[in-house]
Amino acid sequence: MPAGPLSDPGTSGPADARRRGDAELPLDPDVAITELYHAHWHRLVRLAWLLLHNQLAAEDVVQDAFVATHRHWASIREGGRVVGYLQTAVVNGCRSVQRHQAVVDRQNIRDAAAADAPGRAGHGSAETHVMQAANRDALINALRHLPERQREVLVLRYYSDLSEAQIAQTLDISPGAVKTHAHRGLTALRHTIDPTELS
Amino acid sequence: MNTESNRPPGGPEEEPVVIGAGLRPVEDRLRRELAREAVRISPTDRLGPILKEAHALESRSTNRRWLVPAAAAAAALLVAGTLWAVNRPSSTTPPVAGTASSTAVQSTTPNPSTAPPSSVPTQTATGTATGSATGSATTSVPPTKGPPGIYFATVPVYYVGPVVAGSDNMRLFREFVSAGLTGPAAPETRGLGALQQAMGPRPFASSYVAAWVGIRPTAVSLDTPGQIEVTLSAGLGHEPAGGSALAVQQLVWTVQAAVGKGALPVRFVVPAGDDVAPGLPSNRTYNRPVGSAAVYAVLAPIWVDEPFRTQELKAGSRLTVSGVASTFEANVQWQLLKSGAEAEKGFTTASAGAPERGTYTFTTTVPLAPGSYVIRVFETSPQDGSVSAEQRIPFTVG
Repeated sequence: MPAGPLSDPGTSGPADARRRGDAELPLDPDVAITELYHAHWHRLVRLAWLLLHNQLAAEDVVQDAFVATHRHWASIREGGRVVGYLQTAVVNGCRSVQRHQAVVDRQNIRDAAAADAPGRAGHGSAETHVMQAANRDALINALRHLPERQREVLVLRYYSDLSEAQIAQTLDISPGAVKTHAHRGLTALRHTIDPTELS
Repeated sequence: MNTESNRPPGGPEEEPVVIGAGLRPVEDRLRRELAREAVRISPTDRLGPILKEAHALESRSTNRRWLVPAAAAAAALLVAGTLWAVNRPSSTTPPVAGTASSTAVQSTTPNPSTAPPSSVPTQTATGTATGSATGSATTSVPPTKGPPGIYFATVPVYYVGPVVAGSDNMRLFREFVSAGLTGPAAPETRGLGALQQAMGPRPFASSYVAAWVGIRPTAVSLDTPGQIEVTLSAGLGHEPAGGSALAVQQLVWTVQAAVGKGALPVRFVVPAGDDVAPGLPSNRTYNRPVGSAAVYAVLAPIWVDEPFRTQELKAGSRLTVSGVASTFEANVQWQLLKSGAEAEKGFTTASAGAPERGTYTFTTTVPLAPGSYVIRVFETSPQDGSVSAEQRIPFTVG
C-alpha cells in the first residue's frame, strides 16, 4: 500500500484537507484513481460485501464509486475529503442496491423454480443463500436483520474502525444519532448471542 | 427503518448514549466476526474496467455539464445526502456520486469564491446541478436530460450457444454486459438495452448463434400490470440453430432479468401477420419454464460471471473466476489458456449439483503475466471423460 496522501485509512475530514496542500494530491485523475484503487479497493469492496453479502454487487457498487470519483476528480481533489467521498458513495450505493434487491428477492421467492435471480448481479439460488447463511456466524446473520442504519453504523465502526465523527460524516447524520444507532444495534445483537458466552 | 437519512448535521442531537460495559463482549465479538467475514471474499481486479468506464463516459459526454450515472447503483445514488457542501463550505465539491460536475473542471481551476452556499438540497439531478456548479464557463444549459446514448448499465444478457464448441446442442448462456441505454437506468431502459445486446451480433470470440440479427427490439413496456411487453421490428422468419423456442426463451430470460421484476409473462408485439418465431404466435405470452429439470433443459450447464468477456486485468494479480454451474456432483473443472496454451488448470465444486444450479468461485495460483488469455470452465462426462459442457471467456492482462 503506497503511503501517499490518498492512502490514509478512514475518513479524512476538513482539517486533514487544510493540513495538506492540494499539491500533494495528483492532478491527473488516472493517477489519482490508480493510487486510490491500490490503497482502498479491497477494503471498500469488503465493506460493501459486509453490507450486501453479494460479491459481484459489492464490486459493482465500489466500481461505480471509483468511476464517479474519477469523473469529479478536480472538484473532489479541491475538497480534500477524498476517501470520505468514496466511503459515502459506497454506503449509499449499497443502500440502493439493497432496496432494489429486496424487491427482486420477494419476487424470486415466488418464482423459486426459475434458476436465475433476475437482477443486476443476481445469481445463487435460495438454497445457496441458506447454505451460506448456515456457514456464517450467528452474529453476522443477526447483523443482516438489523435496521439499515444500525447495520451501517456497526460495520463502519467495527470493521472500518471509523470514529463517531467520521461515521456521522459518512452517513450524513449527527454524532448523537451514530451513538444511538450503535447502542441499539449492539443491544439487539446481544439478544442473539448465547448469554453464557458473554458472562 | 430509516427515518433520518437526510437529516442535516448540527440539527437537534439525540441524547448521547454511552456504550456500557455490558456490551463490550458484543463489540469484541462483532469486531472479530466482521474481520473474519470480510476476508471470505477476494475482490477481483477492476482497475482496468474502472478507468475504461470513466474514459468511455468522458468521451461520449457531448454535453459537458452532464454527468452520466455509471450504472444502476450509481443512478440510485442520486438521492444520497450531500456531505460536501456542508463540510467544505468554501470549496466547489460535488455531492457524493453527484450528477453535475463537468469534465471541463479537469482543465480549469475551480474558483472557490464562486462556490455555492453551504447547504445543497439533494434528491434530483437538476437540483444538485445548480448547487455544485463550478466556476467554469459551461453553466448555461440546465442538465435536465442528457444527450442520448450516454447512459450505461451492466445488464444480464442471455445468448444461444452450443454446450460444447462444435455441438449442435444449444442452450442459453448468461453474461453480464455493459449496455448503452436509451435513457436513465430504469427497468424499461435496462430491458431494452439488454435485448439490443441479445439480438445484436455475436460477442467477441464467442461461438454463440446470432439468431436475431436484422431484427431490432424497439420498445419495452411495463404499462400492462404483471406483464412485460416487448415490441420487435419484425418476427423471426426462419427457424434458427437451436430452434424457435430457444430463441424466444433467450429474449424472455434476458428481458425478465434486465427488468428485474421477476418472471413476469412476456408479450411480444410484432408487425401484423408475423409470428414471434416460426410456430410461435404473438397472441400469447411467454415465460421461463418452471422446475429445475425444465430449467436444466434450457440453460447451459456452465456460466462464467467473472471475468467478463474482454475484461482487461492488471498484470501481477491472480485471476478470480466465479459463475454458475449445474453439473454432475457439482464438479467444475477449469483451464487457463495463455495464447492458446495451457497455463494452469484445476477443479472446484459448485454449491449445488445438477439439476440444481449452484455457484462456484476459484482463484488461480500464479500471478498473471501480460498477454491474451482464455479461461475455460468445463465439465467432463463421468462415463467417458469427454467434455460435456463448457464456457470460454477471453480476457487480456496488461
